[in-house]
Amino acid sequence: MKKKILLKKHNRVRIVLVFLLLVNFLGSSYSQGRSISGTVTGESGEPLPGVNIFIKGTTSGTVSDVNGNYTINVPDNDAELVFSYLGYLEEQVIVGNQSVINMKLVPNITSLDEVVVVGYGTMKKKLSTGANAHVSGDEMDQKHSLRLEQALQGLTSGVQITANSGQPGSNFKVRIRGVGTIGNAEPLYIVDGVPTSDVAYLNPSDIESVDILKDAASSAIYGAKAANGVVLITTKKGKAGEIHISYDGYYGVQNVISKVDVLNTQDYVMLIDEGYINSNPNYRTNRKYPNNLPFLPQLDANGDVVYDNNGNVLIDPSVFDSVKTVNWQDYMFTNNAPIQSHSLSVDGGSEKSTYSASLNYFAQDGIIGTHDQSSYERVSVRINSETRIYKDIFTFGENVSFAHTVSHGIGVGNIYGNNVRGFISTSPTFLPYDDAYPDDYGRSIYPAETNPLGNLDYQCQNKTINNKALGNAYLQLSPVKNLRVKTDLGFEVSVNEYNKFTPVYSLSTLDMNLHSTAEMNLDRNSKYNWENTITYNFSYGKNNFNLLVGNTVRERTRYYAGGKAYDLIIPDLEHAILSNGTNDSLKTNYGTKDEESFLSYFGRVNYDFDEKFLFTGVFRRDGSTKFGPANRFGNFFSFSGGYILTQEDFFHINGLDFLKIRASWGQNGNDNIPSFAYQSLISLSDKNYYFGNPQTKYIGAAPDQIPNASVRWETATMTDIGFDARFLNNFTLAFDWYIKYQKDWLVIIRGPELTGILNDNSYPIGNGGDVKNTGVELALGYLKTIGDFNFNINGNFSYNKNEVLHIPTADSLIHGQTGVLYTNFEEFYRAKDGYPLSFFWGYKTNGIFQDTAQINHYTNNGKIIQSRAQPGDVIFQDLNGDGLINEHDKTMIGNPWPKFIYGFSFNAGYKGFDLSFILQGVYGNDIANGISSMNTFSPNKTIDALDRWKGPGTSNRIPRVTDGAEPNKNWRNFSDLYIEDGSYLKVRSINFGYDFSRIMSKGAVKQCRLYVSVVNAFTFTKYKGFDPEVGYGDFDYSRYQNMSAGIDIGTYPQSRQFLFGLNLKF
Amino acid sequence: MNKMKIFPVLLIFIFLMGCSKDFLDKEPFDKVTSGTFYKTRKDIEQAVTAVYDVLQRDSWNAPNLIAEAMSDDCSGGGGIVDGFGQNEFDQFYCIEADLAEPNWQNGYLGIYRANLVIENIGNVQWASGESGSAAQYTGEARFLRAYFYFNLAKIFGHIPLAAKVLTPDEAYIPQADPEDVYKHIAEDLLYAIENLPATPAGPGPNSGRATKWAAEGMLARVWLFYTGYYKKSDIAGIVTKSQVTAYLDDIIANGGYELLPDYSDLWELDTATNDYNKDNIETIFAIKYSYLGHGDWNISDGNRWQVMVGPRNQTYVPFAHGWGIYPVNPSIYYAYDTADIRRDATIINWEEFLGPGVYDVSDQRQYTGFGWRKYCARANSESQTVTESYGGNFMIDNFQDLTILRYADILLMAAELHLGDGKDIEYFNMVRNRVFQDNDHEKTSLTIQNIMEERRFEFALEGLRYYDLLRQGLDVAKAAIDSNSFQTDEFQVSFPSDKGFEGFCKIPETQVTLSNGTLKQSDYWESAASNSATH
Repeated sequence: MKKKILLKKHNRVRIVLVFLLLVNFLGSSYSQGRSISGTVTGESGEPLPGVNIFIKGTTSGTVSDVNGNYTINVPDNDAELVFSYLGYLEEQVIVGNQSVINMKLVPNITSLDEVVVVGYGTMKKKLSTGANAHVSGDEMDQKHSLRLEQALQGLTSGVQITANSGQPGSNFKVRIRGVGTIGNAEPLYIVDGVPTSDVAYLNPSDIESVDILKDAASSAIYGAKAANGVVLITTKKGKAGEIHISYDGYYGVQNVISKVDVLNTQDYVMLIDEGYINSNPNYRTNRKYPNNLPFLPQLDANGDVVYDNNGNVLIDPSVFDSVKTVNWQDYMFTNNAPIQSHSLSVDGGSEKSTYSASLNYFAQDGIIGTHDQSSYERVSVRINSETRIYKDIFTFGENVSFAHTVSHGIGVGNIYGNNVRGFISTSPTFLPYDDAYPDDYGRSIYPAETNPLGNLDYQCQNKTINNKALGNAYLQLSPVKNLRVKTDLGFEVSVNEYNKFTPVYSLSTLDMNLHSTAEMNLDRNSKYNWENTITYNFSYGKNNFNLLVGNTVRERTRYYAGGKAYDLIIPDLEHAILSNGTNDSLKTNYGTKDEESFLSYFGRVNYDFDEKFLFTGVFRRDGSTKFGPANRFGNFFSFSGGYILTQEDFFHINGLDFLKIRASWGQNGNDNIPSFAYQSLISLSDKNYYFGNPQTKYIGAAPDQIPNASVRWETATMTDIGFDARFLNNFTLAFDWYIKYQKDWLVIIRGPELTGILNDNSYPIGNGGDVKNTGVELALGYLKTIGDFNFNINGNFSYNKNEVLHIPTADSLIHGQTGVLYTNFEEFYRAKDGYPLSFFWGYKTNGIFQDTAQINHYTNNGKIIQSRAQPGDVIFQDLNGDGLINEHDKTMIGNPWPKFIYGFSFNAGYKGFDLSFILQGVYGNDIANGISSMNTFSPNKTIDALDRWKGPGTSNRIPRVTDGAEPNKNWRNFSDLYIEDGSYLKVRSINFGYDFSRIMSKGAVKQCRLYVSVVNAFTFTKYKGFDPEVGYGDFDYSRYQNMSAGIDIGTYPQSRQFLFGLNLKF
Repeated sequence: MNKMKIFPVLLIFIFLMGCSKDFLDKEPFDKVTSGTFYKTRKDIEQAVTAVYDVLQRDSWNAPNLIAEAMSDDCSGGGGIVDGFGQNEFDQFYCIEADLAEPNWQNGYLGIYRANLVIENIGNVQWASGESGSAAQYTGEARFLRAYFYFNLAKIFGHIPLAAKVLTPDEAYIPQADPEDVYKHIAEDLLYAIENLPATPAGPGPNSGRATKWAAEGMLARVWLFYTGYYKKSDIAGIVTKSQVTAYLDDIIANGGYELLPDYSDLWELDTATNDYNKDNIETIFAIKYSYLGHGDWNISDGNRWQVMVGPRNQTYVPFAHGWGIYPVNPSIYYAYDTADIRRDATIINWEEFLGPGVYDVSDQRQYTGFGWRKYCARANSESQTVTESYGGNFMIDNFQDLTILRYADILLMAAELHLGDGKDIEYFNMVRNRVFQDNDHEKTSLTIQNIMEERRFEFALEGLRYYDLLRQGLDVAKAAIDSNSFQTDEFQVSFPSDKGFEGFCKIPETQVTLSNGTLKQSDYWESAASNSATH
């Protein structure tokens, strides 16, 4: 075992070495001819080092030095020099007979001249009429993220990104402008033109830019898949000119940010005793008292319980002979878990051909468990090139990415599969390792309670290897100027190998495994995507047109097979393969295959008059296998317009440099439902019966699902009004107001069970009513250079309000799941007309009954409302005034969606030093805190339990302790006692760096920046769980229900990371 | 200009692609389309099997278990950390809006699948020699449909009739008059009696299938409940007392069934075969279970309710661990004659079996000192639940069949119907003599109370007691259930006598709200508060 780990480490070292060797081998090129020199300066005359200067149409070039000076050889007077520098406008100069060319570069502060990606093309940002967010790769780099979603967190308005958990490699929820569906609400990702649903394979440092299409008009070109918004990702491309080689790497350690305060053993035992005494007035004679549990209170001479001055039960000291003291969280977290990333990239090219390639290694261990229990490693490669031949008539190119990931994960799922929860709620009364069990884990004094460390060890031996390749190849033909015909073939193949090993073990009466078990499966998803487009630009006077028509065909196949084997010859994870099993009577297998396809046609017109009046119209027609022949195709339109007021001579306001107002209206679709919902099918699975003696298995057949032949597209319609402005030279401002209606919402339509319902999946999927999201987004930027000091500040703010307008069932609601917070727990979130999606549904409380008189005076309709309550029980509000507390009194007691989200970033540079930080926050959302089982007594609880009622005036919030069976259902009712404010502000990253190339002797090194970073430096929140960034979702037993939010049953917290890194550029 | 030529060519090139008509037509790989199904004998046989499959889907609130919880024989119990559903059944309160919903769902699922068979069997192309099959398959489907309706009617009292396969739009049907429901049940069983084979008693290749005998016995049970509870003289004028008496006589005379010599053998594991005593000469109809689900939670082939009644998380060979739910009340244990072997075949006296204080009560809610022996899953000498030796999961793959109807019931029902005509004593004493192994306990005269008491002892923990009480009247049920409160507050049960309580469970609240007002909750349940728990 140890040997293997060493080997792995050795491999990692080797990869790093290969990177470094490559860096050394590759050098810069040289140029010859007449010499030209000069100085490149910024606006206020400060020298600009590191500016790229190259001769247009060649690969010859150089870079300005620390003082902004450069020298370059040019072949002749016709040579044209190109000066480019990130964040500044590119300048071009024909050499002529000059020998000294000094160049002043103007900062590109407005970003309005930058080019944004808009789907099947690019356009100048200032001419765009949509509500799009553009994020450059540089901005994301500061986050040192494993994944794109993480890198984007907080950087744009209107996009809420939540980590599902802090487990390395776990997924994110990305919600653009609110949630409008209970199906898959993730946006569509388009990477270099190839659609994909999962961008985990991407290395963020390979990304040149991300463009998020937020309004329907912008995303309408993607039609039927775009209802949740579109994220366009452009990977880095080579540029004509010099070869660039760069290395980015960091190494760091991670630790837990804060632990959850749970009861210590003394307090735990005290509350157990108190609960027993409260629940069993005659506990000394009642056999129900836990006579074989050693939790004895001290008794006086009369046999009465002794209390201390604070009213707490005094424990018999002998209790601690057998009851141990442990805080499981001390065993849960790993200190200084390593994280590292190394990227090497090369790009370059000539006028005819450009290329870019990179190699990245990323590894992260989880802060819970060992490397083999929770970790993620990824090796990824990316290559692209583009070549223009025959007078630029033909262009062809390709983008290819490949990623290999290996991950191990602990359970972060529901209450039955959540290791984190076990560490919080296991009683603190027994030892992780106990001499009584020399080769095993300690056993609890409760026979049914499991040692969480043992469970982590025995249940979390799994390994997932994923190989994913994604890319495209394209050929573009430009027979006449401004006409481009392009055919583009994209593909994605993702192969997932999964192995899980479970040894024979026994940790409690409920947690055991009798046969060593291997589970093994292979899951292959392959897609291809063929797109053909024609674009044509032309102008007629000041009228400029850009036309696009195209079509797409797409097909996806999933092939999935696996099985389980038992009684293994070699019982370990390495050998968790099916042929290793010996027990033929137990072995099982499973597998499935499905296909879907997609066909669409689309067209777009972009028009502007004198870059002043702007108009875009889009039409798209999509066909999907998800729907029956009559409803297969959907048509989607959008229109948008803009008016750049500052282009008008009559419009002049001092200090206002640029103002564009814009408005858009558009539609797009959602076909994200399971296949064959429209078709009546007979299933033969799980309908067996056994006749005869001896028994013979007979296969049964019946429909599992009620079809809905008329199921059709869900349509999202969005109206957006906004403006973009630049003022006082340094400020930029973008504002948007939108209203988005999800119409013909795809939902499971529950109805009477008289139709024959096998399970939740049996109900037909149909088109419901509306969900409305209304919001306001604001993005403000400020950029300033003062001498050598430059800095920029960006802030964004988004408000969104979600409301379900209509659900097409008789009761106008969609039920949430039951049994979420603990076994048999009642439904506590739902969707209902007039409320936000998945709001928390429960009782409102009104404090605690302090005495019997209060109980008797709490009446309605002439009845004592809580007649069976006792002092110390919760007062529930009888909202309907009928004198009873029942589900008719439940109401909305919390909203899991934030009122607004915000982000803030700051960057500053001074003579090679740089400092940046990024803040991100959410405000006004509620979390249902279910991390400890307050309803029953044996699990451990958070220290809030100490604030319980123990006599008049002691508490008006936390009820008395009981064994959980009190008739008043203090905790078994879902009430506002569970609801906590989930607002938080996180300092996502702080970076400080210095570029040593400024003090190095002149050479090939253009940048040598060393930096330190802290990721997730601080979290400001009132929330009492591990992490207010709660990503638990319905664990989808049912086919089409995925709406829960803000539910914490034990979240794998995100780690605080201290990183040390190096950026090298040659 | 060549621009003009290139354009149309390119357009054609692009729009020809992907246009083949069937590009968007896909079919599933593991299902068949319904249009091509229900055509062959094999199809219909599979459709009938799917109706039987619903019998296996009962879980923690299986009809037999909740009947025991509501009766005077069992408390709710469970673990300290469990929910309170079982206690709600025991004590007639209902916190959970949809407490009995699985029974509602399974009932109508079974009815739906039976209706599919009945409606589609006309489309089958029968091969020569198969002509009798249609009547038999229809008979099986109608027998099962009657079984599901009877369960629904007993549990919920007021139920809608889904007399055909319903589309979602057609499913808003008000509750039927109970007389119409029972008429529907009786018609199905009459058809089954006429059309099902008179399969010989005992094991055989068709064990588990409904027979003429099963239909006759089931009709007698339905008749007794309906006429008793609703105080009627017959079922809707179509089944009279003399008719059902004749059916029972037919079973006794022609069915070939016998009482097993030793009552205890009915419930024991045969250690030689490692199997329970299935399909014996006394079994008339049973729900069949298997361990072949092998722990797969997606396969409902095992007995999923048996784990409920085992001792709470503790195995005492031969009794396998379970969840300690529905502990047996001492009153039934002490009501038995000490010479009655049924007592110890039915109930485990933990203090006697283990010694005092051994049973671990730390996680046992409502420990009564008594547990289920009948239907407690067995453990082998290595303390392994037997299903685990076959690769099953102790929670979902127990495989003891649930006997729905056995010969002793036929005899006692016949005694009841023949009460006073001489045959009653003969049948009654057949049952009684088996368990006392002598003739000293024979009765020479019988009252209805004698028969009801005998039924209590004979069928304890088989899910019949509660409905035997109800059919004698709500006052009788209340007296029996209330008098059982043997210890402290926590076991106190009061059969509700106010607000028109009818002895039925709450109709799932969600079904009421989803029904567009077509389903009505009874007054009692409408006004029941979530905090009116009485434990």
